[in-house]
Amino acid sequence: MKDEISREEMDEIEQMLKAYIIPVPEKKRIDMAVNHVAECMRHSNSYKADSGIFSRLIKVSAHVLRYSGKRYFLVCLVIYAAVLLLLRDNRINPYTPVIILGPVPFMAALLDIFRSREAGMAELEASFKYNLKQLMISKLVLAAFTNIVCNSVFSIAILGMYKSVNPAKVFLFWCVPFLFISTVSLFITMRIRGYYAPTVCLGIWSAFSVYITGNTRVMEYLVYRAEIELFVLGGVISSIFLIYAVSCLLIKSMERGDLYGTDSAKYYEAI
Amino acid sequence: MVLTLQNITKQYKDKLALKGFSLEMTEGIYGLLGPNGAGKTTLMRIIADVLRPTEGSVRVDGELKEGMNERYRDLLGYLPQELGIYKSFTAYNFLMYIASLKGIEKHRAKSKAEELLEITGLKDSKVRLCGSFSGGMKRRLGIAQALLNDPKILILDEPTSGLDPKERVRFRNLISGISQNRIVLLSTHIVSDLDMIAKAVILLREGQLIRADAGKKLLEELDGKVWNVKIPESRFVEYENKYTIGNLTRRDGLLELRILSDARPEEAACPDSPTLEDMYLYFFKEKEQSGQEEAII
Repeated sequence: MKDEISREEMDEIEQMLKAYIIPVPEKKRIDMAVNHVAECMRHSNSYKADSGIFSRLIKVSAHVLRYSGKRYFLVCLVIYAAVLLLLRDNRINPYTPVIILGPVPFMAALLDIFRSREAGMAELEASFKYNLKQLMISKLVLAAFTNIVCNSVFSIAILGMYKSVNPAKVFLFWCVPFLFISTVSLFITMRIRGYYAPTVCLGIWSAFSVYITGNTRVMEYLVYRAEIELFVLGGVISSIFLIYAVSCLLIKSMERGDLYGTDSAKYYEAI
Repeated sequence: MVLTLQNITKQYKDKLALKGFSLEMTEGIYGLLGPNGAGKTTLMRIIADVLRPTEGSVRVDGELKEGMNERYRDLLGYLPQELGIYKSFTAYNFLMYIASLKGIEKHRAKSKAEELLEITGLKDSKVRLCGSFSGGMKRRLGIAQALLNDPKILILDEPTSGLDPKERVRFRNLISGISQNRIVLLSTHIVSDLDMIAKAVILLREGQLIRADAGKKLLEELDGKVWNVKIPESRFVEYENKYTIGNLTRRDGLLELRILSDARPEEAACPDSPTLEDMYLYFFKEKEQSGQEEAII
């Protein structure tokens, strides 16, 4: 076998390769291709920047806790502690405060969740590095988390104090009102401006829940006869509505004014 | 740094607020002028990443702002036209709150907040509640928050409204001093705010860019078109119908008018050097004549 290529063979190869002419593109087309690739690179970079959603959530939540959380947590703590003290004399049906307090921490947090809107700060906060949308997500997550923790601790305390209570019912008795009433309150507060919206919701819920839990027949039905599956179904439906309400809120904060006609300021009033 | 606005269009439900606005900005102060409803605030909100354009793009050094996301907002300092303030915060706490949302480290935020309170003349009111602030003080606090992160792009929507003349001079000097290495876009109705400090003046009418050029160049267009004339009061209506009138003063029983006219209005008329006020009247005279103009000059 021959190792070297002869001159004739080289000429033959050169002739053959001449058939494969690759035209040099215009400079404009090269620039377009470079721009396109650069754009793709930017997208991949921005994807990387966005990948730390959890760490960003923690950062923004820390900010929320630092600037608006202390008083709120103190109020929640005082309310739950006071109710536990009242329960010590065994004269109150233990399920009653579980139902009444179920959605209260979340409803109280609505005052702070919509504070940017009420104070006219929404437009400014939308322009920050950690913007309005991230701030609202953090506040919603914190409010839901606080609600769950408060009620869970309260439930454990009740289970410790009353041996006869049904743990599943204790859980469902705060979980269903939390999911359902929180959703309704969120919808109302999204649509009605002013600090009075969450306050009125809280007032209506307090009056309604006290009325319901004060009615012996209703309480007997809820505690002894109602099927657990019914509560589970109520919880599932309420969860779906809650997810829908939160999505609406976040879509609004992403669409930034496009939903509200010529006066974009109305948008900031609405979120 | 180059901020490129390309074909920015904003369509609200029943109104076209901006029509194909394109402009390239580099470091320096840009004054945005236009009558009410011209689209100034919409344009500023789009640059401030608060509003999405229906069409068009905003790029920094060729990079799309959507791709930059947080990195873009990190470059921004924004003072909206209507600034709300948390009334229960002290001025210092308010700035620390904003600094936290801007992602500024606590140590740096403290020194920056102190520095800006000093610069804006709010140092003595550092621990006062924002709820007790006057309109001018709130505006100064708004300016301070916009500067917290040493923004490379500073957007100020009517920053001097509510400020007294002394505060306005201080603000002008402050902005002029910091404009060397950043893009400052400043919208105002007070044309004299732009005198001396603006690198370029952007004229916007009904959502469209009319002109964007150095103030000096725009003024050159008015050379030989500004006249001072003294007339008896009885001829005022005739002049008013015929010419665009700037200033009007009464002196020795006569009216002294500052007139914008391509031709000498009368033999006795004296030519004068144009000012930015004249320029505003000249470019927006149609609106002025229809009585819709609301600029404060």
